[in-house]
Amino acid sequence: MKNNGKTGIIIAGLIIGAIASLLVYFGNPANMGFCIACFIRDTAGGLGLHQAPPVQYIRPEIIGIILGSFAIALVKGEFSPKGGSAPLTRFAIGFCIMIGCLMFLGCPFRMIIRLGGGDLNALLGLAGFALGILAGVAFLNMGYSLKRTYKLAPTEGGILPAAAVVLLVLLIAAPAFIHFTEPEGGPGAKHAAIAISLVAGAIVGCLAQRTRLCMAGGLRDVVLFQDFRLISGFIAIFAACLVTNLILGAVTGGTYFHAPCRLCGTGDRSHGRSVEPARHVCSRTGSNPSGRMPAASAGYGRRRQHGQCSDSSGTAGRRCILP
Amino acid sequence: MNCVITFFNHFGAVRYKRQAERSGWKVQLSPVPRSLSSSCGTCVFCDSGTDDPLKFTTDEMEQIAVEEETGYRTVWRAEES
Repeated sequence: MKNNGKTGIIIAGLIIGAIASLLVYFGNPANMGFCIACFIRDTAGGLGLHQAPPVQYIRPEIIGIILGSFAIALVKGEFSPKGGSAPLTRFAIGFCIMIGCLMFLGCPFRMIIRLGGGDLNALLGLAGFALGILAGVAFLNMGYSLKRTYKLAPTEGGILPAAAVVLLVLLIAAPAFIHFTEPEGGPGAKHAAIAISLVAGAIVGCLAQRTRLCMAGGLRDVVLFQDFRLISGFIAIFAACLVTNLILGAVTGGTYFHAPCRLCGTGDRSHGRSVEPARHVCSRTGSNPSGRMPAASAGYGRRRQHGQCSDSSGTAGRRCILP
Repeated sequence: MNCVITFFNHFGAVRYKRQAERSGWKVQLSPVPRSLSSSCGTCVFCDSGTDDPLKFTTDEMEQIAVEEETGYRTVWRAEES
């Protein structure tokens, strides 16, 4: 019986964890160095698919993941597009997963990054996530199946990488119809340089493709097979995040362990420097839950600037509902 | 025959294991080895003795591979997979 070694996935986890923390150093939001769900949300906002000004930015990390994993699959001869397995069911499940992730502060990857940043809210998320996996395993064992996949034409598999290239062009060219969160306007305004984010995403994409790093699969394997290979990658991510945060904190003098906003779960720190609570803009409400709203903060300011909000009160904690 | 069988879905592996166990084969569910697939699915390691592992062919079977010193060699693969 063959058993794949854990060394590769542990090394990959250590690299990915360090990258996630370093992205915070280079400008990404604290405890959100790398969050797939949040970055897809930001990208959707950047394309104007939603109108929440604090979270609008085409994240190069997502582009990097797609292109990195695509490139390594091509190089290794593993590019083999498949599909045709219950597409509508998968769409509906993906829809619900995304809502769950954004409601409860991030994807499984960010859950681990949060833990590495000392945010113990993620422990509850981890407990809920594990319960969800157990429910899924029960369904699997009772016979639930999305049926088989079928081989697709290479052009089908090339569409997403092509779309990623288009997104990169839009991000760099920044035409008028692409949205960007205003400076200090929320998490979308916090980002590392495009090249750094792109390379980081490509590295993560390559490593994920080679190691099959998967949090849900890791917990499933522990439950079903008592196999700890996949989950060891996420334990390595946690360890690397924790150590990198400690090192960055010691070197830069800032803090990489934050207390999240009670409304949106994000903090408002950049490059490890603490920012006054009054300057935090909630990504959910665009307001400041501390009770003080800085005049220049983007929640109201940006809306006024764009002539979309006639509420000039700037009342702290209130959400503008005017058109 | 000692082999590893991969499936398009988890339940296919569970069902194959149950059928094989009834025939007295030695079988074990396991994560799919990385060298066999980039998908993190479920496979069955199987010792079918003198029987053909294709005895319990189902639509859910993706491939059968045998372990060699240099890795795995696929000896059967489902159409359109």
